[in-house]
Amino acid sequence: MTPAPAAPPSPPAVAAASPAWQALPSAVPAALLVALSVASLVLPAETVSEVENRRLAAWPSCDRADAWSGRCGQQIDAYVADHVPGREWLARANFALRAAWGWRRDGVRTYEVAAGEAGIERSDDWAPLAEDASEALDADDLATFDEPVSAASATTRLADDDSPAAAGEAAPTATADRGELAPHSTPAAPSPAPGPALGPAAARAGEPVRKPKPPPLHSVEGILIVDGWAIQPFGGTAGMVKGWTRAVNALRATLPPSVRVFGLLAPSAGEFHLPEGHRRRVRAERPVIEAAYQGLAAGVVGVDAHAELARHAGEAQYFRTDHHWTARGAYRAYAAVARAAGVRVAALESFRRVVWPRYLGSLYGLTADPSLRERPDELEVFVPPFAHRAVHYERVAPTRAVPSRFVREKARTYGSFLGADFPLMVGEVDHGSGRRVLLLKNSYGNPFAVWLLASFDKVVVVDYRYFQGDLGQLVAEHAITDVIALNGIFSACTRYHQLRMMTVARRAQQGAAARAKASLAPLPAAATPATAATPPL
Amino acid sequence: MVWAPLWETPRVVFASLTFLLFFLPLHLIGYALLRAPAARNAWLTLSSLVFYAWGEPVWIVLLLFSAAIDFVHGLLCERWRGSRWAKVPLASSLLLNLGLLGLFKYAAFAATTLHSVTGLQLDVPALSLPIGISFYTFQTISYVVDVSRGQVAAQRSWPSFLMYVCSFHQLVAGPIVRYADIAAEIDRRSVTAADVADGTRRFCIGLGKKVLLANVAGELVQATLGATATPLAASTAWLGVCAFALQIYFDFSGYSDMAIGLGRMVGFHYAENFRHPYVSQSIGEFWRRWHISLGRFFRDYVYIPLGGNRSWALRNLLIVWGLTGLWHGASWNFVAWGLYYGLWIGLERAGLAALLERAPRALRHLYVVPVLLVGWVLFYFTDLAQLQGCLAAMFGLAAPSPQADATAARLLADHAGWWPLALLFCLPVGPALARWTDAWTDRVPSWRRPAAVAAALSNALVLTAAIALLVGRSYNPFLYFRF
Repeated sequence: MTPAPAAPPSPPAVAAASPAWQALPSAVPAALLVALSVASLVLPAETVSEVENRRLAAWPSCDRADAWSGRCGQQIDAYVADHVPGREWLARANFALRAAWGWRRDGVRTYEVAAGEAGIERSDDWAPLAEDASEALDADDLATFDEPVSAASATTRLADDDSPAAAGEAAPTATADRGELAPHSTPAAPSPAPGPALGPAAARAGEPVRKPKPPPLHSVEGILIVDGWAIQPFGGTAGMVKGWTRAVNALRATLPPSVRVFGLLAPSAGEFHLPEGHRRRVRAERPVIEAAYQGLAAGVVGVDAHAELARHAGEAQYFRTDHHWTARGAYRAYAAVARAAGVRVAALESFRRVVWPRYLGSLYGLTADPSLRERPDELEVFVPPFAHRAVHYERVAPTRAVPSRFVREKARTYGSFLGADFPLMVGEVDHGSGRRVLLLKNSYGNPFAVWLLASFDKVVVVDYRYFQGDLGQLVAEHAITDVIALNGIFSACTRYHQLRMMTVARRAQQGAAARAKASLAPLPAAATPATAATPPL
Repeated sequence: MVWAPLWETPRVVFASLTFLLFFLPLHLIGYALLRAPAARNAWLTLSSLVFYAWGEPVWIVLLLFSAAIDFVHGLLCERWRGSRWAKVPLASSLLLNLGLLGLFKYAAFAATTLHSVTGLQLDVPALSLPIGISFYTFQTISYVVDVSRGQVAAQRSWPSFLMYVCSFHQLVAGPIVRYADIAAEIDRRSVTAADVADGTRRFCIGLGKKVLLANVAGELVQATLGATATPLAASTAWLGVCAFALQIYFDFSGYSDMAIGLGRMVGFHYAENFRHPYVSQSIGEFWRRWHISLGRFFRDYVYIPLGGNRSWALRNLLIVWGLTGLWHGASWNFVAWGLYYGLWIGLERAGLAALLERAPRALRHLYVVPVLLVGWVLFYFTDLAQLQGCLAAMFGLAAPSPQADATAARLLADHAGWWPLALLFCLPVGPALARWTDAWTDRVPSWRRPAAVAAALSNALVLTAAIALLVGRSYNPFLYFRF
């Protein structure tokens, strides 16, 4: 019998022996790297990142010293990092990856944002502090804290047992109706009895009292993204806002009694737009505002913007993607101030409304959250119906007046309001009202300042973060009749902002003292502050 | 205290965009285009010097000086071996190397300690720490000692020796490569596609460990242990220490993986430096899996010459572990950390290990983990008050701090997917997966192509994710436009 023919040999095992397939695991990532590096060299370099709001690093020009010290390498690294092809996409991928590996509860995403001494703002180029500003703020801090000194700094954390209810504060009720803060024009309250030099904790025998590090107000849980809103959760307390009150009182003390002084604390978006179910994550802002106003000296009017904003809570008073309020929200606060000051309140509709769609603000920049990108804000800019003259003074040339405008309707960013954060701006309108206002502000005051043009002949805008001049002299030079100290609630509870405001007040005091000495004239009689510690001149 | 990496961080690190997008492709392309071994070695040396100089070019001088003196000392050791001068070059090399290390790394520490003990004020020049000095001095010391012992022939080619010393693979973050381990490969090495694939895989694993795991763990550490303004709750303290344990492991082992991967791509086979130390069942085992090259160094060049466990065992143990701690940083907490482990190892040798052998495996892990975590607390805090505060918080002794607060819960929830991944990669999943893949593809050859594709895609995915996170770290938004 013929044996069956042998089966043909099976084809040799492919793939494994093939160097091409063996090289694949290294070829693909290598190709990716080469493609990115070639693309970064070939593609035109971007100069600006609109999402990050900054210019991207330029190719450095290095000298020998730079090369020898390693600075040149660092600058090249920065350039490379800023010019990776597809950078925006990669940054979004980074945020998406970080969002994906968390467990989202209740439809809320949380972004941890590295916060510094000034909250989420960068403060590296702010004006230097006055040396004694810190002492002025500390003078009564320790005497009037309710909690033991060592536990004071623990209040920055919203622990499970730190809910408003546990802290004894009234739990917030409906967001739209919070009642009115008591209009504030109180006679001088009796000074509290000076406490022990180092606070109640010193009374405990043998217990070492540590002066607490100033608790930074930072986002307690990071930035919350909920229902298309980016919200900074508020964790401030009555104790933390005392520094703001003290700074405003110091300002009052340095100004002539003929000048009316107003303090205005603006609540944040979270006060009105955080859904009820998530309010356990935050503290109520109204009690903190009330506590701040209660400490104001005689001659300082605390303006109730909270009630005004609450009445119009259904309007677009806050940006969803930015930490500021809108021009519409600023209008409500302006209306409250104007009524308190007894000046004309311009109608919102009297201004020409310009709308820019697709505005993505600061909180989008910090989180790059896709739900914010899908529902961008509308940027409303209200252009005054009257002409105004304005100049601004820049940080690098604080004495040179540069022609300016309060409204830049084509800017399409928050820079639509005042253009930028200049240390000083002056706007004039021929109303004939005889009233001239000085606004002491940070960025929150930018849209607010525009509305003031409608009611005052002159609006002097001072940004306390950058202003290094003498506010008292400004008041005298411009014959200011009204001064408004405006803060958002976050900055009001942030020690770094409080120190800056106190620095402005200190410089004004020093200026007044110098002028008085020069003229040998008596100092203007200042209103007696309510608090025990009067900052010494 | 913000923990700084225990090695001196260079400006160009492996996990940086400049390195990934420019340095590495240029280096590998240049290497591939050159064929002659001498040219390839020269290219590797040149690349390494550029890498090193990126941060602080001035310290190249010290690197070259250190390499030169040990090149000469190696030759002298070989020439005078067996003669009455035999020990002279060894002693001279040790004096110079340890002297340099002492001057740059420990002088200020010594002066501070002397002042606090005796009140004597010494003016010590403020010198910045040269990058990688802790690694390359130990590397060259090991070379000279091995030559003097006759364990390896001295390298007679200065370019080859320089390449060994300054190879950027291990120069700044280890492993401490013994000359004997790679002597044969310096002048004769071959690279196959499989080597490059393995090297790429290893590099990507290391990059993933560093960027996706260590960097994120570092953020958690900052949010917990780094938040010194507020008292720590117990839960936050434990979470922070666990995060630090992960950070230091993934950071260090990630760099080692990248170094080993880079070496493999050009034909070097460096020894493993980490073998999944967190699966250890005793402290002794931990130190046989953690920073293996450093452990070998101290064992071979300090412990055994002192007598090992044959004479004065406890003394030798404490000396070695004290020095191990001191090598990690010029601060007493590092010394305490080293001695802490010396004591535990002493205890294990004295009988604890025998007891543990009889215990269930789970119990052995339960013993090891808290010991390690407390050790990391000693390592992290250079400030005694903060160290005490953290330990007190961890064990519920830091009233009036709460035992738990929302921070730990929030950090866990916000990284709910990250924690299991990080813990998973503490286990030997990589080697297990590689063995399984190899076994499977050996059995079913037709799976080799899909396996190659899967490996390529996973490498690319890790690389992309790492680049995305590196871009994210450079993401620098301003609230208002910066002109």
